[in-house]
Amino acid sequence: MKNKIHSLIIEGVLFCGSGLGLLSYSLVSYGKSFNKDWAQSPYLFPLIVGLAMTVLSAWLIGEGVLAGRKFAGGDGREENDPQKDPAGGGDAKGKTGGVAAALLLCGIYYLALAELKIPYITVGIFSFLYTFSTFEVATVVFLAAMMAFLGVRKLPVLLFVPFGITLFLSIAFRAMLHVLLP
Amino acid sequence: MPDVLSVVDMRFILMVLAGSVAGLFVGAIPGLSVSMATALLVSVTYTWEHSDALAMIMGVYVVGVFSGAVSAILINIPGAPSSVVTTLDGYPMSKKGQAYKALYIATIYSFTGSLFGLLALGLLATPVSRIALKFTKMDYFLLALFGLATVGSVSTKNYAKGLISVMVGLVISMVGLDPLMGTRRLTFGVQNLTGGISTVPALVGFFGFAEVLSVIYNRNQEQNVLTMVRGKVSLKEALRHWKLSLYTSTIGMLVGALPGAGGPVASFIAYNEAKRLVKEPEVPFGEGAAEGIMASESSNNACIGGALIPMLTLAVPGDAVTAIILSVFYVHGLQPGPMFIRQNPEAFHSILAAGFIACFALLVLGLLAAPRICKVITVPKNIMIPVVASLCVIGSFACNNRLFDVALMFLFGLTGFLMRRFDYPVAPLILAMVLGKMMDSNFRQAVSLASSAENPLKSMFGHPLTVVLSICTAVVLLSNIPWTKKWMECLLGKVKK
Repeated sequence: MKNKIHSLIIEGVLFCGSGLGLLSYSLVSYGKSFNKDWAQSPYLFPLIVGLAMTVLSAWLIGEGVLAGRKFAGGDGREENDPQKDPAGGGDAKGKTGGVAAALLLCGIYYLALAELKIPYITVGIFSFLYTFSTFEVATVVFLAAMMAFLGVRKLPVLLFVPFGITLFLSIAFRAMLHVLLP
Repeated sequence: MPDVLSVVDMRFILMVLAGSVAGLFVGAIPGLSVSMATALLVSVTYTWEHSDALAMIMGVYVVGVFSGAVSAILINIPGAPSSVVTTLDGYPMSKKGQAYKALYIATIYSFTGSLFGLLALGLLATPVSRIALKFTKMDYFLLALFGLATVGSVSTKNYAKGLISVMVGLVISMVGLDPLMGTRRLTFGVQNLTGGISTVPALVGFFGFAEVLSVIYNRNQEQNVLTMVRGKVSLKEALRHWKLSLYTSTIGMLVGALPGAGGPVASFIAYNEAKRLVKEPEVPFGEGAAEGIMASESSNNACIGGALIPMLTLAVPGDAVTAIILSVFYVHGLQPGPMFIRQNPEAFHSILAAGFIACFALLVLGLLAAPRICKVITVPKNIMIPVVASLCVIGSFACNNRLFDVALMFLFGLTGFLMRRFDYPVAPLILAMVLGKMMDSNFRQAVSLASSAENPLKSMFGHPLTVVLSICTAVVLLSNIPWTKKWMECLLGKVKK
């Protein structure tokens, strides 16, 4: 445990890499550009930001080293440990798994919106016309899947709530607010 | 005043009221936030008339900031960050069976605080605009830098992390065509990035989708809702602290006007001041003191007017929500700045009128509806969260009608979630993102002008206002660096000895 690298050092290294990346990008792009006047160069600001980010990451690494020393000689509790669960209780890995699964569902939802091509279908109910397409179908499935994932077990809720919410969103945005839906 | 009233019609009032009702729920339900709601509204309202858009957004803003107190008082979870301090006395008061009294006090002082802030906005915006006319390019850059340095310091315990958030925001703002030459930067050949990263998917991602992921991460936390017993509270009793509320509202307005600070900081300062000034409260602070609720609520609502002052006159937002409102202005082709009030008086009057109407909506909703929404604020998260995720998809798609923005929103949402997990504040990133292009163009123009001057340094920093802003920025930066802090403490210790 004592050999564990303090999270601030890892974060610092990550941002140091980003800062150096931005610095080199600015210098290389400046070198290739036609305009050689730094005062007017579009790469001046990225250069300054990259420099500042590198300095800040060094600061972060310094804090991480100090905190690591304190940790090694202190009570063994890290102040800035990402594994420490801020919510209290429950294992962080399980919770992260939950977030990953939610992201996966969102990814599938995104792919469905991007790849599925359901033609617009308009249904007439008395004088009211309701149009539905890919968004409505994908959203009903996504809402039901997400609710089931979040622990809803009652079948009527899983069937009717996603349908009702999608209908509401579709009417509110597409029909009333004239917002284009995916 | 007649100018302000000239923009008001029935449609305008209805828009404010619709926004206010939305703000009541959005602010009160933990997991939804005013920033998230305004971010989503940007995408919905971009085709509307700007007065309608501003009316609805002001309704959400004013009532949303107040209604964070509802859940703070009833379930000990602040609905908004600026209501964190309200939980200190609001929840203990509720536990004593005085939830209605706590809500009543919160409503009255949120109303007076909002009114105070908006009056200050009405009175101070024009004089501040006159001063802003004297700003040079370098002044604008330094003012934005000062705001970012401040927000970096107040939004997290670790200043380096606050500043790194600022840098990430600046990097995002630089993607696309550069504002002066039109050269592509940081697009890496991706055609969709040429136009830059739109503010809306970033805002929806950082505030909306990040919240969804955070709620999923913390979903085992239970909420206990206290039962509401409707007691009798007289207005006279509630208004006992009106003199102190003027002081705390002034604190709120001034802190709100500081670029980057905002409600949470204002309410902490006001609460500490109330604690310092009220020597013998009826109930000790932290155990249900009415003065504590008053100080927190009057100051965080007075922040609204205060935060709008630099946003309208200098185009430098005071907090995350005003940063989003600034993007509404840009979406509608309005350019805040020193000439804004002169060139767009009707937009300025719309903001003031909407703010005042929203104040009265706050009073009515706070007294009549807030005590009844305790069941709504505990709407099951497993139903609310999927709906919010769908809203995020709609909101991010609607601004440019392209799925690329939805993908960006997911990416920003994940980034926002990780930032929260690792204690990186999101507010500085958003402010930097909104201010980035302005900073870039002003800085380069200032450097260009200086490079052709006889004395470049004098040309850049010779203006008195520039000197003041440079000193302020340097003080904020240096006073937050741990090593200089220790050095200063040592120095002060020696001087005292």
